[in-house]
Amino acid sequence: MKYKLFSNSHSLFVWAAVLLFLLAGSATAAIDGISGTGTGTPADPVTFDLTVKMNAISTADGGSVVFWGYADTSVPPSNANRPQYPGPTLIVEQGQTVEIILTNELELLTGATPNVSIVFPGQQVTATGGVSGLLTREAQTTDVPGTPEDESLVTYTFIATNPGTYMYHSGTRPELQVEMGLLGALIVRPAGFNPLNPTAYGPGTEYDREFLFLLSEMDPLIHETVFAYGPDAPELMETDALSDYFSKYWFMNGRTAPDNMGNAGESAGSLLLYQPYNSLPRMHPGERMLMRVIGGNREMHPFHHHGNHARVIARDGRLLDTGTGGPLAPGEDPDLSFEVFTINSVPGETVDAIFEWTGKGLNWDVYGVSDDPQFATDPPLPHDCTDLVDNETGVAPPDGYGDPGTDTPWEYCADHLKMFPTLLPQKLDLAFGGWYGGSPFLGSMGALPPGEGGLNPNGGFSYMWHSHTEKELTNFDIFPGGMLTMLIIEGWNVDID
Amino acid sequence: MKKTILMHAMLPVLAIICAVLVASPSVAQVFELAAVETQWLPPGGTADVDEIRMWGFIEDTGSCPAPGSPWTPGPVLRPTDGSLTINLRNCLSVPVSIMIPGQVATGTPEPLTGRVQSFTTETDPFPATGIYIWTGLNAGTFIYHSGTNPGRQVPMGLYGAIIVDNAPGEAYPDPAAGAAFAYNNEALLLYSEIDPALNNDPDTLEVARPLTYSPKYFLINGQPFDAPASPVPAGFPGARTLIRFANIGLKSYMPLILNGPYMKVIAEDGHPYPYAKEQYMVNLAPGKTMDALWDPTAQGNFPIFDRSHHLVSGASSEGGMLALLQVSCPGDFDGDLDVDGTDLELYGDIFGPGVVPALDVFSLNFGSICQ
Repeated sequence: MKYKLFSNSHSLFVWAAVLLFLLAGSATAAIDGISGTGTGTPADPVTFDLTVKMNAISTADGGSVVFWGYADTSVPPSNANRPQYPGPTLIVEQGQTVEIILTNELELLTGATPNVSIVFPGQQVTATGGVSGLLTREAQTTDVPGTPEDESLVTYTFIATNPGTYMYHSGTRPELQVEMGLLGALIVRPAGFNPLNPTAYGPGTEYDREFLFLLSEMDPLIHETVFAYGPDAPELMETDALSDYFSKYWFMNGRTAPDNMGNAGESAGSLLLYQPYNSLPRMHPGERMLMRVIGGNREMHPFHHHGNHARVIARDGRLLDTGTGGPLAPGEDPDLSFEVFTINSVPGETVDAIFEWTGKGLNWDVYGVSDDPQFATDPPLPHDCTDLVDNETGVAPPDGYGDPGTDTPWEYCADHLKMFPTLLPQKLDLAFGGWYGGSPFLGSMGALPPGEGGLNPNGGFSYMWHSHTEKELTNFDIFPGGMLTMLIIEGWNVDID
Repeated sequence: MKKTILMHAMLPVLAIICAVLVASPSVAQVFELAAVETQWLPPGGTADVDEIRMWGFIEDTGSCPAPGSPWTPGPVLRPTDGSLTINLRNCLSVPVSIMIPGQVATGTPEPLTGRVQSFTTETDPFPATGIYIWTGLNAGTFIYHSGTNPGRQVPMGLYGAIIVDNAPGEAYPDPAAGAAFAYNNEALLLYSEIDPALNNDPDTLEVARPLTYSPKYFLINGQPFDAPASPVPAGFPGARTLIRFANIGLKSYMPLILNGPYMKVIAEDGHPYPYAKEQYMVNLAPGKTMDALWDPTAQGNFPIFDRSHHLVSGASSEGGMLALLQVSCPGDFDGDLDVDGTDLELYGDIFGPGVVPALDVFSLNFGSICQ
């Protein structure tokens, strides 16, 4: 059974990696990706070199799944020319001319090597080179001697006309090749993007932090069959594996939980060299988090974000207002955004949502009351809730939230000094989770029995963000795992960057 | 009175609407349908070997045909005066019926005896006939299908599309924004699927049941993609095409247009949105209909494929729910109204003689592309 190669030791390793990562406090607030070479003019397009190769990814149950991935083979490469799942996140700017040069270095054990390609839903793409395919031009593995074109190389060119979140994926037998791993994210930043004051779509879409949630799934049976028999074999095509699909692994940014909560990049360890991206959202109260959610493969994964609603502001890279969206009411510009706590994540669709959290409505002081006798042995942080100005404008009148630069920015002052509403049981009577820091208060820690806690070293509030198709919280039937991560709300005393 | 039924599963241009409209006095329009035994041969299949048993709605010819004619979805019904009567001849050995989610049927349900298996009054097995009447039709794109044991009769093929326009060339009433729901051309995309195991054994519960439903063929307008498939005519550059999506399958499908302009989705389940939404794909749940305006600017074949990847046909790849939307210039269009035998005469050829469309087609930009 190849799924059991590493099981327990690997799992422990990953949880340890999560711990180290959090202790180091080295998260990046931006989305990992590559921005190509070139200035983006038609004469000097932003250029990416992608090459399709085969390798194997790891799953957190100790499994290993053969996959086909896009490798960044630009000079210098971002991930040592390795194929990766998902493919490199391409980050460009609105208005730039973008060029992706695709080559095909698939080497199969058996069966004819297929052509590969890329399609870019939402973009108007010109494809040159390669050979004609059903949806776009495709790259063979070899150039045909004596023909003027290079059949082994396709160039896709488009102008990134609109900002937003998009994806790219294989346009060659997508039901097989996207499943095999040929997919990735494309992010188009608005023209004149300023990383110090970022927006998703220009004014009105400001955010403080952004995270990518590229959700996908796999049926390892398909991968094993392709590996053993080839992609056209009756062992695959005469079953219902592709027509009546049944997934068994679920990924966020290409990793199953808890691997997705480990470090990004090579520091995640040698088992995740082909899965360089992680998924661990962290934020301070009051910050605006931009969630870029992509339905990557072929199934819906209702993405449930605990902690608060999120406001969906765009879909398929278009703002949900009629400023760009509607011809129906000239001169009007209604806001068509809406709030949800579950994002459908429809296959192929992208969603941008703004998530905020302040603790408003909990009806107790999230930073704790320092003289609460219940917590005499682990007293929470003494703090004031100072509210003189509106946090958005910086001037009076006050808005009900702690001001920037005070003890607790964005604390909901109406709940300040409200006691914790229940008596906690004695610690001997409690069962702990790894994310409990010993104190129910933001930014505070408390004593824990030996061996408990540790995944939340800053005393943040952690909320599970996950697929609400609950079976997807597993790795090949083993709970917990799959499509889940933790949002960590960190106290303002914790430096996230 | 009896109307001619449009046999096209897809409607290239609006012309057909108005051919019906012009001759139509304002009485309830009557469509004559029959529920019959048919069969469907998958692409690449061997005749007399690989046919899949189907039931279908066809235009009634006054008697039951011999079983075994090729299956298609039922004829597209286009009632134009706000009411609809269907006379149904049942040529099957089981009771059938017709329902239209989103439209209100008239008549009093008959008391049923025995186990209820229908959402509406049934027509008894052959040789019975039944009458189904709807009045006060809502504008929009809808699906008609058997309301009897639909978990079996719908997969067997008893379904079709019904289109109700607010006015010729105008999908919905829109008092606020005038011509916002007007269109020049339309393309109907009806999604469904076939499970051979269920269909080939519809009379017993021994082998294939809804419980084990596992479709192998994924159809748009009754056909899976099969290169070189005929593209779906979808209008001409510079004009507005209304894409009518309908899903009578049992799974959700996500049609996505590649390389074309975004769609402006204007309606769902036959109800217009207050404002359009720009999307390159739609999420089409079972039973769902959606309407989208699409403004192609160049000629070409634009792939529209199911992004939930039902892109196989049986054991073949490059099949399933893929279609090509064909955008091409209308004949040798020169923009005048002369009837000279070769030029397209817009009002006459597209909207029917004497019919003024809601959208002024001459304000559109054909010029640089099509001349």
